[in-house]
Amino acid sequence: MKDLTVIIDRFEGEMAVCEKPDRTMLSLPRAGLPPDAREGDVVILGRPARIDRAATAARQRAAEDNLRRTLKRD
Amino acid sequence: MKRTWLGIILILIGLAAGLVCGCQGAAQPSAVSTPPEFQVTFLDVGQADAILIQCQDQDWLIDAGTNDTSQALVKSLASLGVVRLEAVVGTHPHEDHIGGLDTVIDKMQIGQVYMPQVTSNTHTYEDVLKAIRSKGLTASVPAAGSTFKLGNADGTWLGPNSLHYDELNDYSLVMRVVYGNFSFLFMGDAGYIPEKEMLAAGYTLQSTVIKSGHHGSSSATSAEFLKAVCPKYAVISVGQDNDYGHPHAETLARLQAAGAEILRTDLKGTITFKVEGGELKLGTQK
Repeated sequence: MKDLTVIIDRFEGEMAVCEKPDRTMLSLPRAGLPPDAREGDVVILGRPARIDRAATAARQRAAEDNLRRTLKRD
Repeated sequence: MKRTWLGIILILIGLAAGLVCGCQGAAQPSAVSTPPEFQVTFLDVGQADAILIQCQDQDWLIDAGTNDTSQALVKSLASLGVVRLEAVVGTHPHEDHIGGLDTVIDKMQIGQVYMPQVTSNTHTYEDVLKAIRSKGLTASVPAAGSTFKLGNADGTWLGPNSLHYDELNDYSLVMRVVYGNFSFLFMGDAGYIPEKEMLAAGYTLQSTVIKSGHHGSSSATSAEFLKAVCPKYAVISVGQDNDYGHPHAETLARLQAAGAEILRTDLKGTITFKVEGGELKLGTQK
């Protein structure tokens, strides 16, 4: 079975609140994620969990471009 | 002939009844949609924020709960007589604040959209930006210190005051709204750093009601900040038995020491402050 891929939405203390592809949320212990995991990282929940750096960078570029296109131009 | 007259009489009775029903039908919506003088409703959306401000004919929504509660939020807004939102504010792009914003934008008439200059990599954030553009809208980033009108109420954007923070929470749009003798401070999830910046900027912070930052987390609502705000009431928007221990005991202790009456959505449900005839009335509904 394919490992679930999530995006870290936020950290709440020792918990990481992650977004699943269907937009439902999953709270995971932060300790179960790579120690250098940050908000916004795309994480593949295999054994062990690993950060998909290419997917993270791509999503970040897309989000910044998206915001630029959405902001009011004065 | 008799049958014709009978027919005419029946038609007249029918028309009269229709007229009466029509009048009742017209009267009901106007009774429901009578705009409140000034009202702030902290909607119970679990471990998340959604706050409706209504002043005369203007309605603003600050945050929109989670993805899970988006349909329920739209229903709640409709039951409060909201048809058009003059502005929606996504304080910062965490899912517990903007989760339902795409649905609200899709389903309701929207004037302005305000958000901070920061992104999230989530699909939830992408959905919100898509919803804004699909509706032919744009988003504005308000400058700290700038003012706005909300009906007859006066608002000021108080944060963020920096371009970069380590924590996404600290990018939260913070706003203070004043109506008559009463003032409301909406903190989003802003923590200690933005609190210090607001104090240093010399903004008027004193407020009758504070929406405590970050669901009553110990990362927000410092004693120093509370001293300047001096709130009579502190609202904590928080879910029952949440996974994060919110509100934290330290924050509750600081609020108590500051003399604020604490109102929690997990205990009280939806919390409403209404200003009528110069008086502040508090209501709760679970």
